[in-house]
Amino acid sequence: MRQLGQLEAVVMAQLWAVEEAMSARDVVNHLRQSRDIAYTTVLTVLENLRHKDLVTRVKDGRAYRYRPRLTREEHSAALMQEVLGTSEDRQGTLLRFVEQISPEDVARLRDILNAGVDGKRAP
Amino acid sequence: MAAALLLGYAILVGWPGARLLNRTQWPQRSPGCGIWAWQALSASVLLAALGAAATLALPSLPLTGGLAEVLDACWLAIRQHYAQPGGTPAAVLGAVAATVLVARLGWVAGTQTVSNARRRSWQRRHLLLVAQPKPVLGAVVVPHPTAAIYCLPGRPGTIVCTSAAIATLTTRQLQAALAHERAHLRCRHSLLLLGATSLRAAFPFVPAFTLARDQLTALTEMHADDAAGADRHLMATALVKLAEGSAPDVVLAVGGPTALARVRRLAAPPAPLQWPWRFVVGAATVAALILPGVVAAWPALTAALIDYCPPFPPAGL
Repeated sequence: MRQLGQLEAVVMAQLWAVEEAMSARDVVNHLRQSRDIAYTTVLTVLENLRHKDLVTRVKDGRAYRYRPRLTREEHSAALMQEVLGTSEDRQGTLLRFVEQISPEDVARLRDILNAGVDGKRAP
Repeated sequence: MAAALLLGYAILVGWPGARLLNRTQWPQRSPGCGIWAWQALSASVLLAALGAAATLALPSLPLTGGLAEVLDACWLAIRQHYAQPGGTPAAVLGAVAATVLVARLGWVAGTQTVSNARRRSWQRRHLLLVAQPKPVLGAVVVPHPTAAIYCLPGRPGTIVCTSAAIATLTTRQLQAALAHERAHLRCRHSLLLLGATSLRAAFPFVPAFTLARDQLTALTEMHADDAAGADRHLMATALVKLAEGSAPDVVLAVGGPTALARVRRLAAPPAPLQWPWRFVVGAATVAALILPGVVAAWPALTAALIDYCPPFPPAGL
């Protein structure tokens, strides 16, 4: 499973790297520059990604051309929305270094820091 | 008798006892000790409640035969030692209560665990796609304009930083924050918090469980601040900078009290608990954990000391 995850990451990275939609053959040619990979493997990965709603495809002649559904930024945003949210469920999933703070409390934090920690002033 | 004692104990420790501990300040001085104290308090209340239900149910259980074999005592004597005025209805109540307690907690903890695992798995899959591993930091980096650092527990755990966090903090501040996250993973705080959250969710009417969860949330953060082994000034600065760097327009801001307590503590560290007091806390922890079991087993143990059986053979033997 981990292997498959890695391959998906590599294929997505390739799709993001190129502006226009790519066919499976295009992807294979790009990836062959740095690794040994079979055409059928790439096709399987692309179809997996499509079923996970991460890429879309359009027919181009007899082949399909694939493109990512979300940009890299949109993908990061979706990931971080879960993290930055404050739902009760989310709190069990991960541990943030510091949780969401109100602006008033942020000002108070800054005051404490400026007053000095261990006799040192704030930078 | 045992059941009444245990129930009384559970109520005493679970309600005023917990409120009393909540008012003390010493846990912040040595968060490690404080964590043990709150866990022991919660476990003690739970064990006492279970013990009360179990001792009520014991006279009516066929289990007593096996217990007698173990103790080499007369099974009738054991039964008599656990008899109480309520008779069979009370025993049935005990059995039902014990079953409900275990089932409720098991259900809540189980669903919580599954939910956590699913969300973590989703996070990891998406991190694989968008995050850049940075082995030098021991973390992965997500390109994002909001500064945030968090850890994803698991085997192995993952520590995640946003690109904004790396831009906001100096190298040494970043290392302090990452060391804090590593401490969370090393000390398995997520497991501890799962227990506390499950107890509160399963039995929200018990003040001990609600207070324990809130206290443990803060104490695990303070413990990680200490266990990171980083300079306090660096840790405090990283904390404040990341707090400033997170999106300011969120309505539900829950992290204020804990963050303020942490920074105050980092700025002016209170003296850690001295060894005599640490011993006291340790002893109280052990006592709180074994007391319910001892009280529950006491009737059976005293029955074992009786070396006679009633003159007539009981029916069914």
